[in-house]
Amino acid sequence: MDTTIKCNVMKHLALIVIILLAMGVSNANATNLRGQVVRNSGGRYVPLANTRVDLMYWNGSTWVSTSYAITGADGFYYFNNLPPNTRFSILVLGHIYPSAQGSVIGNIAPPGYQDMAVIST
Amino acid sequence: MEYDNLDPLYKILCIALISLIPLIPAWGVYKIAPEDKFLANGDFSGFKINATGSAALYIVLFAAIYVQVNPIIVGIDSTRALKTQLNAFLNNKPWMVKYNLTLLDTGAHEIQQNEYAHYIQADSITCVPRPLVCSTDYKTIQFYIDNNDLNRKECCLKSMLTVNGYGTYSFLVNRSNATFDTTNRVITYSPTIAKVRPNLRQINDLNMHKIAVLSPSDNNKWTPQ
Repeated sequence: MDTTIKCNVMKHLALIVIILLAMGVSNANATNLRGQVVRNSGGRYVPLANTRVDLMYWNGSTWVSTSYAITGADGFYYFNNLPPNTRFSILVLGHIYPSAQGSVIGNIAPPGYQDMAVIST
Repeated sequence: MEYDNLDPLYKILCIALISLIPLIPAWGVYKIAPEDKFLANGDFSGFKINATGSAALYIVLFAAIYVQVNPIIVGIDSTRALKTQLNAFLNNKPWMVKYNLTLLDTGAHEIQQNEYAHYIQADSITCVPRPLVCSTDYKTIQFYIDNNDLNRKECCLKSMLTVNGYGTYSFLVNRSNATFDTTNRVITYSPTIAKVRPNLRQINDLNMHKIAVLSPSDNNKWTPQ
């Protein structure tokens, strides 16, 4: 009788552990980030192509560039497989966006993207 | 136990066969017409020959076939040397990086197969390093990299792909996100690169002041430390 009870308890515990692990796995997404850089030309915004965009992470005391992208003809840039809940910012032509405090990478399952606000130089 | 070097056996087999083949007609002559007068005399490779009957026939046939032996053995040796050189080349050939690409429309649905050719062409995409070849379905892109780039301790390769209409994708190839086939020297970047077509109408919304932009100011000026 005691043995049977112990077996049932172990089975339930194993099931709980499996469910918890599955939840952990399902939350381990990597987020893709994209945005557009434009410039103001005669009162109209036009895409800014071939411009370097740096992805910056906060290391506790300063922003550090970890990778960069070059905007395409449409002004868009992309960064892929970013860890969610990480504080980041975008550096374009000497300015940090969205602000000096940066923003946080959300948890968006690919192929979806986290969209940055449009940056105007 | 390796069986990759059977050339010495091939050589022995060639010599054995060439030595045994003339025996067949010589034996035939010995059995059928032992009285026939075959005569063979002269010099052969420094040996004085004076033979009759089936022995003479054997010697003549052996001599005729012998002149073919050397080129065959030399051919085996040179083939072996070529194989060694080829293996040395293959073992040191540049690594090839391969990655798979999926293009999605603005609704994040994969585009039609026949649309891939419109976007993926060797002369219309920008890839760093330069693309070597695109697969026939335009979904796999390959390029060579310098061996020195992989020999570095951190073994991390920066690459970038720009597809017209889809923008740029930068990625790092390292041992945690790529599989290394050391036999064929092929690195396969594990995640499939999925590119979503950007919403190009966004620029229209901008100019119609429907959405706001972030602008440079003194507050977000960055000074490297």
